[in-house]
Amino acid sequence: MNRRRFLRSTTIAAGLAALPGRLSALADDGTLRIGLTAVVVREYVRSFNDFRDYLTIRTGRAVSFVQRRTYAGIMDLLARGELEAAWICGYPYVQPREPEFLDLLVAPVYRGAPLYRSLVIVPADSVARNIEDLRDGVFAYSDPDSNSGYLVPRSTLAELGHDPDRFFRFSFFTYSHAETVAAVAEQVADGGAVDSYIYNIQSRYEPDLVARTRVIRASRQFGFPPIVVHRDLAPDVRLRLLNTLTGMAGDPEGAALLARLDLDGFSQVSPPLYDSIRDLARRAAVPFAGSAADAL
Amino acid sequence: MRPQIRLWTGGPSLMVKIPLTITFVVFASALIIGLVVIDRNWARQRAGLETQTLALARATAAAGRSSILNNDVWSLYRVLRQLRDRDPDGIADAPVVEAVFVDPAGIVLAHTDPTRNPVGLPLGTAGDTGRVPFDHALGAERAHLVPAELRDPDFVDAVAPIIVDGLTVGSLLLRSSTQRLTAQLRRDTVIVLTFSLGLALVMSLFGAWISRRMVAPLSALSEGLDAVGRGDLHAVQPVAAKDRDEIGHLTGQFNRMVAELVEKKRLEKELVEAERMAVLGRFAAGLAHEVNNPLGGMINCVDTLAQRPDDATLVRKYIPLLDTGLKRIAATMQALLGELRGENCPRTCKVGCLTDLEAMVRSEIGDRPITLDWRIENRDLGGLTLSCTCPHLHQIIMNLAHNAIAVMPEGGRLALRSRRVEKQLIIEVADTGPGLDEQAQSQMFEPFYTTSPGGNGLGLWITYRLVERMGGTIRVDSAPEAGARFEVTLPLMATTGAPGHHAAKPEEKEGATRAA
Repeated sequence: MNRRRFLRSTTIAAGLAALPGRLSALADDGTLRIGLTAVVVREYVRSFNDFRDYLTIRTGRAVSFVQRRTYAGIMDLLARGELEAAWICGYPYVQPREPEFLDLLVAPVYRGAPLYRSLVIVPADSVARNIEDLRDGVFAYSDPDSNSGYLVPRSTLAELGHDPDRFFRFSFFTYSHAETVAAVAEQVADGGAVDSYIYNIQSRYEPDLVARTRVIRASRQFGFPPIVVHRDLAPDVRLRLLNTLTGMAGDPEGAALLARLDLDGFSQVSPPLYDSIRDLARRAAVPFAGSAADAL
Repeated sequence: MRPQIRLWTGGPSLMVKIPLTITFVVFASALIIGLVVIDRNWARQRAGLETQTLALARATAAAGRSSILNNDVWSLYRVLRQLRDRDPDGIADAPVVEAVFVDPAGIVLAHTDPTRNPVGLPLGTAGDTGRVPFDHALGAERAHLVPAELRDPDFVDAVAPIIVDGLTVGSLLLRSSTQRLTAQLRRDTVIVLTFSLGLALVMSLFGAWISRRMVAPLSALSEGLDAVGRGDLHAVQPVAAKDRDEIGHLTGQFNRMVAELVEKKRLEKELVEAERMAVLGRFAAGLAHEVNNPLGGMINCVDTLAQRPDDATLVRKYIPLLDTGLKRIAATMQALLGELRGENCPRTCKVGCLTDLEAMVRSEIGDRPITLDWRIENRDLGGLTLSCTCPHLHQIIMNLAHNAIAVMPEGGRLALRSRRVEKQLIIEVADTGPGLDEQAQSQMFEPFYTTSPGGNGLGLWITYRLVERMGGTIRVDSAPEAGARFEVTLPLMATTGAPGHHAAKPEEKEGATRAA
């Protein structure tokens, strides 16, 4: 194993990016770069620092978390081989890639299953009782590549016979589920779509903010945003990461971390878990927007 | 007990005026300075608020630039939210009360109050915030403050256009409140007023203290001078001089002056006493002399007669002598006592009788070489009367004329004049005799004072008493070798309704009128 620890991975990545071949950007110094998206609340910095340290110790790799404002930003980094792994949403995961460069590693277990819902929330004092009451209002989506924050509410509108592009007077992206909650709480938006996991963990950490909102619709369950690895990640590293994550629930320190993240654990899942999202994307005929350049 | 500071009653006291003046001056000064400072401070703060508001608008517009281009309204909102959240304690100099990003058509992209100004609608359509003069913003080419005449005076409005490639893609309007400044101004004003009043109060106490310190000696001085004016020197107490300033000097001088006055009065009293004793002595000596002179001869006569009581010749010879001696003593006593006992001079006298005097004076002169200058005129009286009888007036003038003639054995000039000065008749008797020295002048009106060997020294004494009884005065103006001039001043009374107890008697008034 090459242990040129003093060479910064980004330097190597930048140097090798110009070379042909998709493997060239992966770090060969053992650094494990994991992309984070808005499927988690990155603002809980201490929890994620502890999570990073935990992974570093358990995997024996220098783990670093990489954050971009949009899902697409992380997907681009994965595509360029600048990330070894990423915690992404099911919607980007189900997008067809040719050739495929991602492998499903694990999905978090949330309240007994690797499943979550998409919620439609409104300000607490709103008169809206269902999503149709939000017609001609202002609506906050989280990210155009989000399942729960974009695909699900639009699909719901489409199922109800509305044109998602015209139903709202105005809509915008917050690029974060947590920000969507804030946008609704502060009544910048008349309604918004959020991840049920994010909404619930926020109600634990930011009860005042969440108390200013109200859920008017919860979707059916979908596969929880998974952790994927680059297909070219060395098998031993992949295995070590897999074992570390799936073993967290059985380890006191890992269990404590999971509790802080409001998760039961991580378990291996198979791609069919995300078939419902795939179906949704196909039926809603929403073109995939995940190629925009990273805004930040 | 006498209060140390008498209450002043002659107009506003210095005790009041000094503290009032100090209080007013201090209050006015503090107030004026304070208000000027407040005014300058207000202007500076206001200018500072405007500058900050404009700078904030520029910075905020710059922060929203890329979000506007990306149509990222949530980021725009977060930029505005930072404006609001940057001052959680409410202490910012430019407290932003309202801020809005609008697109070139005036549609809200983000507003600090999204409930009233929803995204995607024209500004103010759902609320009352149309007060923001956003019309001003739409055509703006550079960041500027909305002119004062277009905006609410309680706010400062700044407009910052967001221009990309020469094209306005949006605008920021930012409104900050002057409320905090106004509150500050009010607090400052209250502080200045309170401070001015407090200072004025302190200074008025100080003024009261200092004026008391300054005025107390002045009051005591004033009171002391009053007492001195009344002649009540014993009521004057030394004035305590606290400072060695002008007032201290003044009180020191005053104390010295009072002490000297007291001493002088004591000395005068002693002098008067001594003088009285001297006069008495001289009087006793004169009286003894006048009585002893004939008494010696008479005792001899009586002794001789006692030895030879049967000598008829002696009796015949000595009885006239004894008679003469006794009469002389009786005359002396009469002259001395008779006039003192006197009549109460109840009648009035017109000066017409004076005309008769000229002959008497001329006969007194006889053939001495004395020129008589007679200028006594009846008309000088102007219808007024004297409170005396004619013989008394005659006696006064004749006594003076007699003395004058007596001192001019070698001849000279005798002048008698009368004149009226208002309600007084002045009679002058002047001679060109040897004059009188100062001692003679001071003693000449005493009984038995005489300079002539044959005189008994009672003439001037009688004259003096007569004049005094008539309510007049007599004085002498003389010097050795310069003659003497006696001036008798007698009060005149109106014949009708004139003041004075004599005229008040109806019968006399009637008589006087008849006589006129």
